[in-house]
This record gives sequence, C-alpha cells and structure tokens, in this order.
Amino acid sequence: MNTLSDNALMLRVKEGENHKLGLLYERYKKRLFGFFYQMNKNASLSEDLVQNVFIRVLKYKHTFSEDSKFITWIFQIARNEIYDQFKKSKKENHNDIDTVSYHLNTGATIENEIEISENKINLKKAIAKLSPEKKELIILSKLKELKYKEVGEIIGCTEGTARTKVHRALNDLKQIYLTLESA
Amino acid sequence: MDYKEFENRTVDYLSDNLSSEEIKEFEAFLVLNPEFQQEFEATKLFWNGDSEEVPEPTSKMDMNFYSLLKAEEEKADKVSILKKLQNFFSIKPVKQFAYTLAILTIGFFIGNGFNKEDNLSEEKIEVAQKETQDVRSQLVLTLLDQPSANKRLQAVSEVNKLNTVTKTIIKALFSTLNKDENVNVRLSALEALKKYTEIPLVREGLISSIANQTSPLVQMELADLMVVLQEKKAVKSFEKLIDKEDVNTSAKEKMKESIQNII
Repeated sequence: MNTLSDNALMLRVKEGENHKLGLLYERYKKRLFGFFYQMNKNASLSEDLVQNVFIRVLKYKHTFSEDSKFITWIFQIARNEIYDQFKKSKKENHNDIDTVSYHLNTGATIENEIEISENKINLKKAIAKLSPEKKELIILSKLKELKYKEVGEIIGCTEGTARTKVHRALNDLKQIYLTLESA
Repeated sequence: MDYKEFENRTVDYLSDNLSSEEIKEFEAFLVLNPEFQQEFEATKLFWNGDSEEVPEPTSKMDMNFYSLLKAEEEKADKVSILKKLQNFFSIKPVKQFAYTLAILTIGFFIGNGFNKEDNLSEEKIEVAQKETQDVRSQLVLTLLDQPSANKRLQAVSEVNKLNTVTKTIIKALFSTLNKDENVNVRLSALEALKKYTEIPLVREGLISSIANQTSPLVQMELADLMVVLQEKKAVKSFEKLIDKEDVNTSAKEKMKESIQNII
C-alpha cells in the first residue's frame, strides 16, 4: 500500500515521475467530479473537466512547491477550469441558468416521481438560480478536508472573509428558496 | 446563545469548522433548546442541497486519464535526441564500446578490401556480424545496470537493434520488466519482449510477470498483449489481480475485458 501524502506524490510528479499522478487521480477523481457535477449538472462535461484539471496539473506542475497544499492547489486549478468553461458556454449560450431551470421545469421524470416532494424541486430550482460563485462556495465548504482557511486560499481571500461569504451564500439560497415558495 | 449566534454556529457546524469542544457545546444546546432543532434541520437541508444526487463517474473517464498519462510518459521519453546522444556518449563504458564498435567496423571494411579478389566468404561476414552483435549485447547488459532510468531506456532500445537475442538478454529484459522501479522502463522492456513471443520461454515469462506488476499501465499493456497472443494460461493470473483490492479499477476493467476476449 502506498502511504505517501498527496504533497509528497505531487512533488515526485514535479520531479518527472509522471506515473505517480495516477495515485493522485485515484484519490481526487470523485471529489473533483462531484464538485463539477454540482456546479453544472452535466456528467459528461464534468468528466471532461476532471480530465482537463489533470492536463493542467501536468502543464503547471513546476508551480507546485513544498509549501503548497495539494488539495487547495488542485481545487484552485479546478476553479479556473470551471470559470473558463463558464466563459465558453456563455459565449455559446447566454441563458446558462435559464437553461438549467428550463430543464428542471420540463423534467417530466422529476415531476412523475412521487417521492420527490415539491420542496425538493424548489430547492433544486433555488440552487440553480444561485450565482456560480456562491454555489461554488457552498460546494467547496462541504468538502470535509476544506475548512474556511483552505476555502479562502482557493478563492483568494482570508479565512474570516471566506466564513462571511459562506454564511451569505447560504442565506442567499434560503432567500431564493423562500421567494420561489411564495411565488 | 442568541438567534444570530445560533445561525452562525449552525453553518460552522455543518461545514465542519468547529472544534470538538464547540461541537459538543452546540449539540448540547440543540438538545436543551428543541425550538431551535427545527431551524437547524431546515438549514441542514439547504446545506446538503442536492449533493446526494451526484452520480458515479464512468470508467471512460479513467480510460481517458490513463491514456493521457501514457501519452505524457511517452512524450517525456522522447526528450531531444541530441541530448540523449550526448548523455549516451558521456558514459565511460559506452565510450569504450563505441570505440570497439568503430574499430570492428573499420576492421570489417579493411578486411573486405583485402579480400576483394577472393570474394569474402560468407563465413567471415557472419563472424564479423556476430562480433558486432556480441558487443551490442554486452552494451545492453551494461546499460541495464545504470542507475539512471534514461540509460536503462536506451539499453532497451539497443535491444531492438539486435538481430538475435541471447538467453542472457531475455533474462535481463525480464528482470527489468519485473523489478525496475521506473514504469517507463518496464513498459519499454515489455515492448521489446513482445517481438520474441514465439519463444515459449518468453511467453511463460510474460504470463508469470503479470503477478509482479503494480502499475496499471503495465497491467493494461499485458492484458492487451495476452489477447493478441490468445494466451489462456494468463487468465488465472489476471483473475488473481482482479480480486486484489489495491489494483486500479480501470486496469481491472481492462483485464476483465481481456479475459472475455481470450475465452
């Protein structure tokens, strides 16, 4: 069994042992996929984005230093990846969020499933309406390994600011939900 | 704890940002104040959102990643040929062998010139060729012992230039395939051995090598090779690997696929 830490493995990759990236991929593929999927609800696109993250890891491996923390470093890359993808899809389709909502509204399967309550549908709609920045904050904070400090490092702010932002994001989600419920 | 503080603590609690003492304190507060429990449950619902609905990524994602990694490793191997040559000729034993090869070649042509009228017998050509082969074989064995992975890769590529391989070379290649710490070197040893699969000893060696492999890349490569060879004896070795817990899932998929194709 390999017990090398993520950082030690990444330093080996940096030194040219590219095959060590396989172990890091195995450790992070689900977390990264989950992050992308919750952001865009598109499994196939999320798989491509995970692949792109590892292409970037190889391309920018020289920027990883002993002081870096691998999880924050890779999620910074994942974040850049998703923002590039957002920009790209905005060019192709201006109604990003509307499209998601449309899918939710017309998703006959969702409405047909009796066990999914109206509350759950409203929650989904509210999440879809939440801005990508806020959605991202909640998803990142949900990862066990990421405390406010690491979330702050990923999005580029202090621990305190990250905490405030996470609280605000959740409040915003509640507000959107309540508006939908009363509508 | 007032309502505002309770609200803040709830988010900190859900996002795992409280110390173990604070967690206990918060949980005790919830027990003592059931009126806040409902509010807590509602926030928890918002916090969890629809994260439970994340599907599993497909094995296609794994295959794509490992192909990318393999391509990247191959690219890394193709470092500037000039640099490789420079490194190659900077090793002392290589220098010596290069000189020996040069002298042998010159000797061959001089001999050829002297014997022009006699039409150099085939026997003599064979002797000269054999000597060249011997020198090259020795070169391979020397390079395989070098500590640098690049040198060992060069050793394997030297094998490809040999017309015939000796048992010693085959043995050395297997030792590389089974023990070398570098996956690239292992892969290239496997690549070199592929040419000699008509030799029963090589086939046997390849089958028993399956159990020694820990790298998914080598495992997948062997799985492909065994399908080409339609080697039924390999099935058991693959099945053992598939049962192991620490074997990569994509490699397992590939091996399962190969077993299907062999049978």
